[in-house]
Amino acid sequence: MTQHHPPLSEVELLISRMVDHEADAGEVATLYERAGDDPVLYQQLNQSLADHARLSAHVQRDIARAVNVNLPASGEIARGPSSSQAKPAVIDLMWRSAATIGWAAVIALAVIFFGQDRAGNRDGELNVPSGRYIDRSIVEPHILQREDVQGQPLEPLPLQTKQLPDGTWEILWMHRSLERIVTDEFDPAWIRDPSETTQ
Amino acid sequence: MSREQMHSQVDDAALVARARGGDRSALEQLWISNRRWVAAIVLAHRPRNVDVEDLMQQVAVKVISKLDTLRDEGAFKPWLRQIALNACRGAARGLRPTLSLTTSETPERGQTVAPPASGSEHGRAMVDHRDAAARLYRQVESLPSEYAEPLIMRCVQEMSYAQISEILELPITTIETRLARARRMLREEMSGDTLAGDIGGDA
Repeated sequence: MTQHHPPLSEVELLISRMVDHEADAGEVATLYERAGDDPVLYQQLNQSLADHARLSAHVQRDIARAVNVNLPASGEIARGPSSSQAKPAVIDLMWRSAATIGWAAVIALAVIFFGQDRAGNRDGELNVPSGRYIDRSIVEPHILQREDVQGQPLEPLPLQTKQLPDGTWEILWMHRSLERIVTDEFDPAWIRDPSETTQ
Repeated sequence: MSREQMHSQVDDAALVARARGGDRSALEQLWISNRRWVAAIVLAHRPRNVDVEDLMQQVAVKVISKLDTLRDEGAFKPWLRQIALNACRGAARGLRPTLSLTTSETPERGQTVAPPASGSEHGRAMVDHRDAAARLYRQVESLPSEYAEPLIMRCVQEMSYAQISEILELPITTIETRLARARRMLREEMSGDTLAGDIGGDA
């Protein structure tokens, strides 16, 4: 992006103020008077207005859901466990990402591990994520059965590739799905880490 | 300070006082009347691949849990902006490895816009329009945040210079200059874009 900033011209400021509905009648008259001598100014004004309209429409669409985010229902919101706790690499990546994004995403990422087939360490080579999970036994069932769960499939996670004696390849992978719920009932105790406590 | 800014601060201060006293409706009113521009701040500062909605939820939680720490009730907007900035910075610190969490239905950065099923002239014009907007938006994302921020605030809520000035705690003339400069940067970038012909075509 351009770093050098030559001074703005009066016309540039004027056009920008017109786009933003900040120009007064005198300024509008000035611009039209100048455009009489230099019709390119009309083109610049039209272009600026069109760009602003396009950009506004795009931005509005981009944050349509975000501008409707409400305050949590309860005053005290429990937060997720600290990201500084030790955890396996794959989980660590996901957890750090989730911890920065908020409690809703913390739940979402933990939910990834629901329903996963923990295939076991066959041949000792499998890249199976092990670690944090949501303890379904202590989560109110209605929370995980809500209709507003938003699911999004992720790319399959490769576990192992191995060439077989006949020259073919055996490829093991794990299906993953990302699910997300929004709830005000989150309790950090849902998240279990087998490496930290004996269950 | 403009009359508009004074009214805004008085309104906020009164609502903050009531909210601190346990008035839930005041707290909600405070949030609802400010959340659109907060979304603009988040959009301008968020790391790529982090969902605006998730960051907004973080901000909402902080508003509740930290409102007691606000020293000057009349400075609610700058305080709220700082919370939004902190949420974005926190996300940036923790997201060095890229992991997309977005479920947005809108195109991500760099993605092309899917054309509508119709092959009509109207359909193609729609695609052109949306594609041009997406390219323009990508350019906004690459602007320095001090320019992107007021520009997006204008786009989200058509905020006046005085309102933007109050939130960013900058003189109105600075807001005016930054917006004009942001537009110049966009013009320059778009004219350098090999696809810019589409944009200029309907000027």
